[in-house]
Amino acid sequence: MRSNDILQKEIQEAIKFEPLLHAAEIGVIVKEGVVTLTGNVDLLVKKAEALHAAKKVKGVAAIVDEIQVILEKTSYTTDQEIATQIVTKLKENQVIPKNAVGIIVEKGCVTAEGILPWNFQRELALELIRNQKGVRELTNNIKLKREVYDQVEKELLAKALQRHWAFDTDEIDIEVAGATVQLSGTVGSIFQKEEAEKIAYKTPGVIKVINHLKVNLEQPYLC
Amino acid sequence: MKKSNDVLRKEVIEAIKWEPILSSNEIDVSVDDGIVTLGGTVDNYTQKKEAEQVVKNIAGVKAVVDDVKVDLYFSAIKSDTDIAASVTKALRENWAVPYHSLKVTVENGWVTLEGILHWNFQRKAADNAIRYLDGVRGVIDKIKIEAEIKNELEKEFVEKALRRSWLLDIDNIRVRVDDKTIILSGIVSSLFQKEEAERIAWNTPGVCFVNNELLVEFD
Repeated sequence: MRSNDILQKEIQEAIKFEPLLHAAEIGVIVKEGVVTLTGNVDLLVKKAEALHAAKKVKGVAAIVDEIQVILEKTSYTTDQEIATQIVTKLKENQVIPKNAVGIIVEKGCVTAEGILPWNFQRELALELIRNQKGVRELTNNIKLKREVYDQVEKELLAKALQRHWAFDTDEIDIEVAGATVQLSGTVGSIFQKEEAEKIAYKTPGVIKVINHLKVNLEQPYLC
Repeated sequence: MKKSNDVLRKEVIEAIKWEPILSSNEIDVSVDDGIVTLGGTVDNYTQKKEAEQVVKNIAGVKAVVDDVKVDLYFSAIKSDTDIAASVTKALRENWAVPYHSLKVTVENGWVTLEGILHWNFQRKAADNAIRYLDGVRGVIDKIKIEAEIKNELEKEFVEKALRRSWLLDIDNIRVRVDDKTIILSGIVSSLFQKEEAERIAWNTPGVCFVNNELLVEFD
């Protein structure tokens, strides 16, 4: 277990090392492996980027994100402009079904709504919105739904995890109930926890993933 | 445990099928000692990139040769002028890309990007902005990176950044610095890690080139 001070310094360095975040003033507080990020950035995607950088540091078990997006007055984007640009980008994207996602913009806060067949499409739509200038907050109300439901086969998911270089599947338990998959057990990092969830969402027939994986930093090094 | 060509080939085929975006495609897979060659055709550039990405995450894959061709549906074919317009627009609207530093030319659906950027992540952002557009068959990247910061590259700085990442085992990675170039050598256990190490190296202030000589060895 690394001491809080060392971890705090490493996370700070990791954030500063990302070119996007050179100028950002992000505070890092560490208490027993739990990391809290604070401060202000001028783009929502920078908040995501800081989170991402912190997650990859060895010894991070959980992150509390308190970074705020404060927009500069000089580069103000109206709600109208934000909405128009997001709608165009959604329309031009070949992976996201046309007219499936609707957005509401209020004072820079965006709510995304609608129904999509796949989680990866939802993730892509949200990322696209996060990248839009002028967006301060993003609320996800996109639901997943498909016309045809396959029977979920647990073994298929187990195999998909096994193929992946980052997993030792003995550590992950899979339970299936209807269209829901529940993951439990332990992994060695937040990265693995999130990656497992993404893979589970791609299992034919799955509409919901409950991720109960625990991050255990004491777990022997993966590679 | 080393995977045989047959086992690995089967896994690659399954992994491609696992991706909802690729499940209906005809991608040919051949494997020779960890080197995976993808062939066949897909419907768009997004799928081509996705296939490559998926294969990189499989344990035991040392390298990917991407020979996949993009065969657009008739309805998805757009004129080069239209593509150029939507590419320019996408780049302009992406805050991460200094679009005035880039020159865009389109020929038969192939987009060529030329120019000088300060950071490699900007190059990636440009490719990302274009990837999902209709009519694009591929991107030819002729972008050069010239660091804005003229500091001397510090080897320790790169090593420290690599060491922080839980994705990498720095004990097996060697970093050398030659003027504005960072050279990575040694061993990692997946292509994903090889690329992550490269991405980190590219973030070092002052870097203009990264030679990624890391070997992927899966035991």
